[in-house]
Parts: sequence; C-alpha cells; structure tokens
Amino acid sequence: MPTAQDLQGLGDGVGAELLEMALDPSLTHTQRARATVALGWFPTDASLATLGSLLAGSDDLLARKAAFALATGWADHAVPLLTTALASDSVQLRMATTRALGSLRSDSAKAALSHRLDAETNSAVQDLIRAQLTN
Amino acid sequence: MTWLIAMLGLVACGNNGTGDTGAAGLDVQPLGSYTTDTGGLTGNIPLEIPDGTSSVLVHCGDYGYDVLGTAWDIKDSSGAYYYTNQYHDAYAATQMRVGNLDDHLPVLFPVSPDHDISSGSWSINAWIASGGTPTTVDCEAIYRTDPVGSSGTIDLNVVLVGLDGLGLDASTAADDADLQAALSYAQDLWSDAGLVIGNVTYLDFKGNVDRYSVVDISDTDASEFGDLLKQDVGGTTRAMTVFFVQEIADASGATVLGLAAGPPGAATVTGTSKSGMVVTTADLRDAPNEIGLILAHEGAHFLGLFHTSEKTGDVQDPLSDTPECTEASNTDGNSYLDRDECAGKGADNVMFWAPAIDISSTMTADQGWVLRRNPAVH
Ligand SMILES: [Zn+2]
Repeated sequence: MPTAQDLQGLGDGVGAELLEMALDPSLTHTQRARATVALGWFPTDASLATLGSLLAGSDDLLARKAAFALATGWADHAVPLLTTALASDSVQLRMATTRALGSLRSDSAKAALSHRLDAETNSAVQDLIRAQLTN
Repeated sequence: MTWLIAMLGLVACGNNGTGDTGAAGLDVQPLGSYTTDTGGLTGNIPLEIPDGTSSVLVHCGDYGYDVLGTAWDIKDSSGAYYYTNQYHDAYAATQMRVGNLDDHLPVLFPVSPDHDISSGSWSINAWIASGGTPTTVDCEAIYRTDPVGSSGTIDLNVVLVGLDGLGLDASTAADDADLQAALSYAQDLWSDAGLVIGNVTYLDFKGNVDRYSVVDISDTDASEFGDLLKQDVGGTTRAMTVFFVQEIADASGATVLGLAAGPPGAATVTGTSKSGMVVTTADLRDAPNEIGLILAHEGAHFLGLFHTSEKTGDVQDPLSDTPECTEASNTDGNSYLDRDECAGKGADNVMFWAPAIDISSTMTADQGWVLRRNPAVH
C-alpha cells in the first residue's frame, strides 16, 4: 500500500479519484478498501460524507476501513460517528472502531471506549477495549 | 484512474511446541534445551544429519514476540562454516539466507542448490537477541530422508476462520467454485516448480473466531498472527496449514492480502507461531485468482523461498537462476521497486515482492529445487 506521502505527492485530483474508487463496484473488494483507508489522507466534506455512509453501511470490510479513515482524517471530530459504530451489531466493526479510537489517544476517544466497555458483552471486544485504554 | 488502481492493488507481502512428526520419510530428533549466554548465543547445538538427508529444519523457541532470533553460524561435518551471520567474524557474502524471526526460530537448509548439504555431525549456534537476558529455548531437528523427485506433493490443511459471510465452512469448501478456482490457480503457478497440491483437508476453526477472523498486525507487533498459528487445528502433520480469514489488517487499517510465517515456516511442526500461513479472503468472490496467487506466493515463503529481490532492491534471494532487480532500477526514486522498473528482472516471478495476476507468472528451476526439498513436501 502506498504511503500518504506517495499519494499526496501525485497532485490534485487524487482525493476525488479515491472517492470514486471507494464506491466503484467494478473494483475488487480490497482495492475499494484501500481507497477507503486512503481517503483519510484527503479530508474533504465529500469524503467525510462518503465515509460516514460506508461506516453505517452493510459492507463490513468497507465500514471497518471507514472507521480508520475517519480517525486518520478527522481525529477527535470523528468521535461521535465512531461512537455510533461502537454499538454496531458487527463484532468486527466494533473491534476495528475500538482500534481506530484507540489510535487517537485523546480524552474524548477514551471516554467513548470506557462508556462502551460498560455495555459491551463480547469478550474479544472487551479485551480489546481494555488494551486500548491502557495503551 | 488505472495507475491509481495499480498502486492500490500492490500485493505487499509482510514478513511465527514440539514436533509431532514421525511420518515416514521424516526423522525427528529432539535437541534439548539451551540457555543463551550474555551475547544471546546458544552455543553449538549438535546435529547428526542422517545419510540420504535432503533437507534439515531446526527450530527453537519460544522466546517471545519482542525478541528476534536467527542463526549465528552453522558448521558442516568438516568443521567449516556453512553459514555465518552478517556480524560474524567469518561472514561471507555469498551464502544461504536465514530469517530474523520473533518468538520461534525455524532454520531450513539447504535453500539453494549452490549450498547443498551432506550427512554427518554438523552444528548450529542460534542467536536470540534478548538484550543480554539469558533465554532458554527448546530445540528440535527434522531431517527429511525420503527421496526428492522432479515432482513433489504438498498436502494442505485449509482452516476456515469465521467465513460464514461467504457461506464457507468445512462442509461447503470442497464444492465452493471460487475457493477451488483459487487452489487451481495456485497449482498452475506452482507447476513450474514441480510442486503439486495433494490432499486438501478442510477444517472449521475451533478457537476464538471473534478474535481471529480479522487478524490485526503492525510493524512491531505480530502477536495476533503468531497466536493464530499456534492454535491446535487438527489436520495432517506433514502438510502446510493455511488459515483463511476475513482479513489481515495492519495498524493503519490497510488490508494485507497474505502473510506466511518465516521465511521459512516451521514445516511439519504444530503449535508454534511459525506453523502456517494466513490468507485474506475479502476478494474471494471478486477475484479468486488473486487468492490463488497469494496462496502460491506466501506458501512458497513458508516452504523456504525469499523474494527474488526485496522491496528496495538492496537484498536478493540466494538463488543463482532468479532475475535480480537492484536499487539501480528504482528510476522514479520512490521508496520501492515498481513492477515496470523490474520488467525482465523478476517482475513476472511468483516471488517478486509485489506479484500481480495480470501477467504470466513464472518460477525457476532453483525455486523448484528448494520447494520440493521441504520436509512438508513428499
Ligand atoms: Zn512475499
């Protein structure tokens, strides 16, 4: 996977192309996933809207990638959206969102994780939240 | 957009008990426990290589995910150095390669026909870099003593981890057209090397599916990957164990398509962090050939092959008949060798660091020589 610098160095228009790719059903699932992660390096209103809908959508892989991209691109401003995803029915999305919030290391992200820990019933997610809170 | 898709489609490849082999053709010898000195060396561990041995796998561990281990030196039956680490006084540049591996160290030789082996009293001195803290490891040797032909068979344990979303489990796998297409494509790629997929045993994962169906790794922490490989899966011992998971994700959230223990892996050894490989199935329905390519590439790592040229071109594999793509080919000055920069220099080899399915992938005679010698192959 290219780095943020690799992609940002390609000039104008890359963010818009990544946005197209993230939504392009003719691409493979992992190509769309990589484009979705990379949207975090191009934080525009358009990418925020797309990531929000992917996060709440039915495609679990892309929802997980959206969680990371939101944390990368919007930091604490993404905490409300990520807090919603922490209550998803998908265990894997809850775990990815836990990691995304954990990467922020901020008070608001930790508060969201602590709050979720009280309600969380899955032991794998509980363990991961505890690990992220002590990081 | 095509160029951007290509960039995002690079198949970047990442970089973990006791044996219970006893299968015909394998001679398994416990080597005992060794405690490292302040320099991290175990001292010479004797190896009695039987007549007719075609390959040797020594493995030692466990020493934890925060510590790297490798071979310091290997001496043959004449007392001459067969291998020396790059920091060794007797280091020689042209020789085999040994990995620097966390938690559990498999050392496989030979991994090049230029460095074949003979029977007799050899020794290996392992280097466990634990920062001066004495570390005790248990070691074992596996000698492959059955003949190696122009064709070899590798059996597979295919472990399905949380793939209900794909409708894939041990009861459906044999009839899943996409999974079978993936295995068939891997077989096509390995056919150049004379390697044939034999019996495939499909197994449902019996461990914590929630924890392992998405495997999270980072540059500094592969413990979840290693812990998955340690799981007891059942299946056949003289085989390669392949965990099919929903996804391997790195610390940035990016998807890694496949990851093998090693190179090399602890072939025919169960219960270690180097006892298999993991493949992401996210593209199984979109691009089964891609899954097949990952299986062929990562499986070859497990069985002892390195990249023809590493990502930046500074290190080459120990084989004399594979093409080399060096740093001089990095004409665009970015951080890695692109496929077009290595055209004609290994880009179409299955073991290029970022292989692609849109080319006619190949393997060389020397790569086949190594693969067919592995103790897991029969
Ligand atoms: Zn590789």
